[in-house]
Formats: sequence, structure tokens, C-alpha cells
Amino acid sequence: MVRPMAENSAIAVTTAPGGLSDTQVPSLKGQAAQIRQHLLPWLGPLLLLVAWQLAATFGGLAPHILPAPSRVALAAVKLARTGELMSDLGISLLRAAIGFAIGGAVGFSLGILVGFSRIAETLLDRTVQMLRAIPFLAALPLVIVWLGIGEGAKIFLVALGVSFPIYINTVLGIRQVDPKLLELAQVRGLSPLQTIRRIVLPGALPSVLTGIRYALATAWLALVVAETIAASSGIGFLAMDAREFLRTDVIVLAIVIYAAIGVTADAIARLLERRLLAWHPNYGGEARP
Amino acid sequence: MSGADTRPAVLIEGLARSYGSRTVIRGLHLRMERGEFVALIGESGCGKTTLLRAIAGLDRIDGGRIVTSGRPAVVFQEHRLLPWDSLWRNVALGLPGPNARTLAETALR
Repeated sequence: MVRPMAENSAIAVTTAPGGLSDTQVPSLKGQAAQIRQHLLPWLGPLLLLVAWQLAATFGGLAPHILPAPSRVALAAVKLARTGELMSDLGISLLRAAIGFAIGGAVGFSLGILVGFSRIAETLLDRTVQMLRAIPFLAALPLVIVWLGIGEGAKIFLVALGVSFPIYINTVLGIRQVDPKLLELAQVRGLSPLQTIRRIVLPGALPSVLTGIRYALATAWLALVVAETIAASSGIGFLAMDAREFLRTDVIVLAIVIYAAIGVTADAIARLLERRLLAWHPNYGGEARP
Repeated sequence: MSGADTRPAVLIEGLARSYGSRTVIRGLHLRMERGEFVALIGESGCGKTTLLRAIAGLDRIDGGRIVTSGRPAVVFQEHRLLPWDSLWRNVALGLPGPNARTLAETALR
């Protein structure tokens, strides 16, 4: 799509009369370059997809090893028609959202507490750091013993994974607030509550948002594991159920959906950063490449 | 401005401040009247900033007392702005009352 456009503009320049075309050339060329800049990175994935499709169709790539992209797409359409896809997707998203909300609230509250109070830090931080040293997925068997294989276990696992990155980055954010600005608050006679609202929280926000981005990735990972090991619904269940019947197209579809949601979540987090941290030279819309 | 108020703007008696074993200020007496201009001159490290920070209430003091009438206004050496807030909110920081914005915008004009 890009090349022909550039060539057309070149032709237009040679046939157009006089100086008017001269001013058009750079803008058109610039536009073409911009489009190329946006589209060219997609060339690699696209080629890979085409190669995969060709290998599946003509190259003898067995469908039960890796089904063609077209078959994965077909599986998506079929599952969407029956409503299975949407309901499983909905359940997975709901689990992630609830787990994220609970884990985020716990991590953020603890982070605030420890960030502000040295006593709370002395009492709590060591414990939290030790718990953090446990790979939270290793707790899965224990979680199943405690909560069974119902919704509780999945939500708990997501919440567990989410709370640590949010906690750490909230504490860090609060501790990194410029002490000069805290002196400013003191001199201006701000109450403790005003100081927190006007200075500490906005100052800690970049770090907190970083924590949220990490937590989103962790939440997703936790959900994949929980749903793969024990579930009767959700995207992970879709994949495990398909495994029973060697439906590799559905398995690949589930993987693709997990990936797509992960990318979307990160994009949302980045958008949040851009919107909330517009004042920050490192995050402001234009400053970022 | 009642005019009747003759209390000094700043009154310092026997101020002492030390960092560890190093005494920076000892037995300082200072009285600043209202409307008076006082220039504090001295070589680097003699305690000018220490004194100002003590008056502003930013540092503890180790002896003596500082009496100020009302809350002293302090202008820092370098700017201290909240980068996440708008200009008027920075100017109005700490101003009580609902007309803080009007006050700030009037001051900016």
C-alpha cells in the first residue's frame, strides 16, 4: 500500500505544472515516510503469519501439531457463534478484574501505610518482603487445598500476584517524593491531609502506575495458570478442554486471546500514564517516541 | 495594619543549633521589627541558611527560642513548584478559603 502511493506522488510531481508541486512534494513524501514508519514494523509478523499459513496448507505441517491461522480464525468464528467464546472470555476478564481490584486495594493500602509510617514499615515490611520471595504461583497447591478449585482460588491467586508489585511501587513512590516539596508544604502551612493529597500522592503516582503495569502482567499470568490447572469455565478451560479432543486450533486461539488481552491491558495502562502524567517530561504525550 | 501592634516580626533569644559535635549557631539574639529590612551576610557555612531554616520552622533547634508573629513566609533559593499542578494552584497553595483562585490570579496579573 505504501510504495504505490509514493510512486503516484512522484508521478504527480512531474506532471503538475510549476511551483505549486514543489511545496507539495515534501509533505507528501513526509506522509509516505510516516505511513511507512507505522506499517513497516508489521511486515515481519505478517510474513511469519503467511509462512505459517503456507506451511500448514502446502508444507505438510500437521494440523494437530500447529493448525493453520485460517483454521484458528475459523475456530474463533465458530465459538463466537455458539456464544462460548464470549462467555468464557467474560468469565476470565471478570476473574482478572476482581482479583486485580482486591489485590490492588490490599497492596495500595499496605503501601500507603508503610510509605507514611516508619512504625508500620518496621512491623510490616520484613514480613511482606519475605512473602514476596515466594514465587506466588508456588502457592497454588496450597490455595487449592484452602479454597478448592472454585472462583475463590483463582481470584485469590490473581490478588496475591497483583498485591506485591503495587505494594512495592507505592512505598517506593511515597519515599521518592521530593523532600523539598514537603518542606514547601510545611512552610505553606498545609495540613497533613492536604500534604498527602496535593504533594505526596501526585508525586508517588508515576511509581504507582509502574506498579499497576507490572501488576497487570502478573494478574494475567496468575489467571492463565489458575485456569489451566483447575477450571470449568474461562479461556484457560477452553484451552484445556480442547486439549482433551486434540483441538489444537482452539488451543492456539486461547493462546492468541491471552496475548491480545495482555497487550490491550498494557496499552490501557500506558494510556493512563500518558493522561495522568502529562505534566511529567518522561511521560507527556509528545515527549515519548 | 493596626499600627498599635509593636511586637517584633521575629524575635530570637539564645538560639543554638549544632550538627553532631559541630556547633553552627550559639547564643544568637536577633530582633526584627515589622517593616524592617535585615540583610544577613557571612561567608559560606557560617549558618545563614541554618538560621533561616530555623526561623521557617523547617529544622529543629537545640536551644533558645524563636518567636514569630504569624506564619513566616519563606521564599526558597531555587523554585519549588508542583509540576503536576497548574500555575494558579501553585500560587494558591495553602491559601485558605474559596476565593484562593481569584487571589492567585490577581497576584499573577
